[in-house]
Amino acid sequence: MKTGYHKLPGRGAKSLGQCISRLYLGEDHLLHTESTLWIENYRRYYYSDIQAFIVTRTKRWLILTVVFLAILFGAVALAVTRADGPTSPSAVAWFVVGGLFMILLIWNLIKGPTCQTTIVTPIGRHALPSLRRIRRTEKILRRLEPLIDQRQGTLDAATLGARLIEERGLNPVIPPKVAGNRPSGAVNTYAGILHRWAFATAAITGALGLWDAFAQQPAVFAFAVAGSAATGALGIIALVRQHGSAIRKGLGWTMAAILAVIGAYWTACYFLMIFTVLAINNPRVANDYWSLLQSARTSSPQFYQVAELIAAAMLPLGIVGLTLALRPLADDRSAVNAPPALPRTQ
Amino acid sequence: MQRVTCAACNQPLAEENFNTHQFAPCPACARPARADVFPALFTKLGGESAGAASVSEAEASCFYHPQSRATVACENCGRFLCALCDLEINGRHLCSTCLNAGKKKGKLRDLERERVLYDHAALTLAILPLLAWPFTSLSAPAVVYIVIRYWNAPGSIVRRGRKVRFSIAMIIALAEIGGWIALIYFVIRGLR
Repeated sequence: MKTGYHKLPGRGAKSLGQCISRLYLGEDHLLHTESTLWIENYRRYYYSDIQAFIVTRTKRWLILTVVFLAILFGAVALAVTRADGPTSPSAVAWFVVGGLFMILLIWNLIKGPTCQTTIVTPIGRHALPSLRRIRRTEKILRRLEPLIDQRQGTLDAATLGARLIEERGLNPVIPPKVAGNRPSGAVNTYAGILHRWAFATAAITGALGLWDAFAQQPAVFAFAVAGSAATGALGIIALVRQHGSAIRKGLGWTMAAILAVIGAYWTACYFLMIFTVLAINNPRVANDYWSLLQSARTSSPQFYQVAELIAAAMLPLGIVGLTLALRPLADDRSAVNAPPALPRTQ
Repeated sequence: MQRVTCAACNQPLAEENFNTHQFAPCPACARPARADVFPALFTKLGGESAGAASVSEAEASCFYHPQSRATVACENCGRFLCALCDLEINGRHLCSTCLNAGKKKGKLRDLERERVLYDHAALTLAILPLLAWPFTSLSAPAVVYIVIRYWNAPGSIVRRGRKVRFSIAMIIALAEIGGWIALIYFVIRGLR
């Protein structure tokens, strides 16, 4: 049985755990499907109604590359610096982890830079999560353009210019919203101070974790745990405060990544404690965390190191976050450098 | 052009960069963006076709608006329709009554916004409980019910192989039921 649709390459979700989106070429429309395990939702964009495609480059590709590269180097470094030699089972395990991330790194590099694609129709704008790689998106747009042109006619540069001037004459131009020129009403004036503190504590905690991964000092471990708790609390408050504010979007995502690392770190700490109790076979110290920390170093040194390396991931994230938080917004830069605006025709 | 805005900062993109097929920095956030626009961007919603012309004595009038001139007949019921009442779906001209009826009965595939994939449900329900096999005593009869009840129900409009999935689910479910019968038989025999 023919479905009448031609599947376009690419699949993606708006965020982790959400419905999988795909695109299909129909006879007179582009079909966007969102499917969960049992239910499939459809949205049709008729070629005659499509007004525009907007493709915005994202930094996901760069972030993924840095993360994969960091993990790859970390795993290889751990494997080659093992006291029991690089051929020991633990070193082999680290090499396997490194190899896995090398495959992911190569896959990410081959796929190319990432983007966010939006389709504009008379009823609104919709994100197309399946078009997240620039190369693939451009390829698909090249396939779609003739189909749309067939229904709507072509729009050459001269016609486009004339239409834009005509449109500007009909619609008064609304000045773009910038940080200092926001519409009145409920405006969040939060400028990102909590983010800066959280990123700074994350960087310090990460540095402590990295140091302790090799030094293995229970006191440093305790400070790292306290630092992660402080970072977590600050991070959650910062994420709540940033809602509706004009701060950089990347700050939120970096904070979310730090919170995920803290979650993983605390989980590792929890298991470290359990394994230590089991290893020293002394349930009486189960609630004596200081004694447990001291025992953990000797009873589960490898797990101790893994936990601290997880904490160390906060160091690069904290530095990235601080860099983003301290960099002025492009709006502010353009406001300072831009020439005075010419009056537009009403 | 307020509709063509940057996906990152939601500010209008520079019009001189439209249809250049090149990435240019967004004027507000400096993030590289490209915009491919089409003639529909300049079409006003409810433009020329919305207003229906007045009817003269020699012309047919719209079934729903007797004062308006009919421009087309409904392809389902044959009623004359003015430009306002004419609803074009995939090249077919329909009146609102036929459109609603078609939507309710599921006859107009182009209006469907959601489908339940019973074939996927059956297959998942047949395979997933194998991880915790005692649950197959409940899931296997459920799979048999789903397969029989929804054998003719429409599946995904884009994916093929609905009946294959149903058949595989049925075979697995029957095997699970057979396994349970065998288990019960041997347990009873062992007790004797």
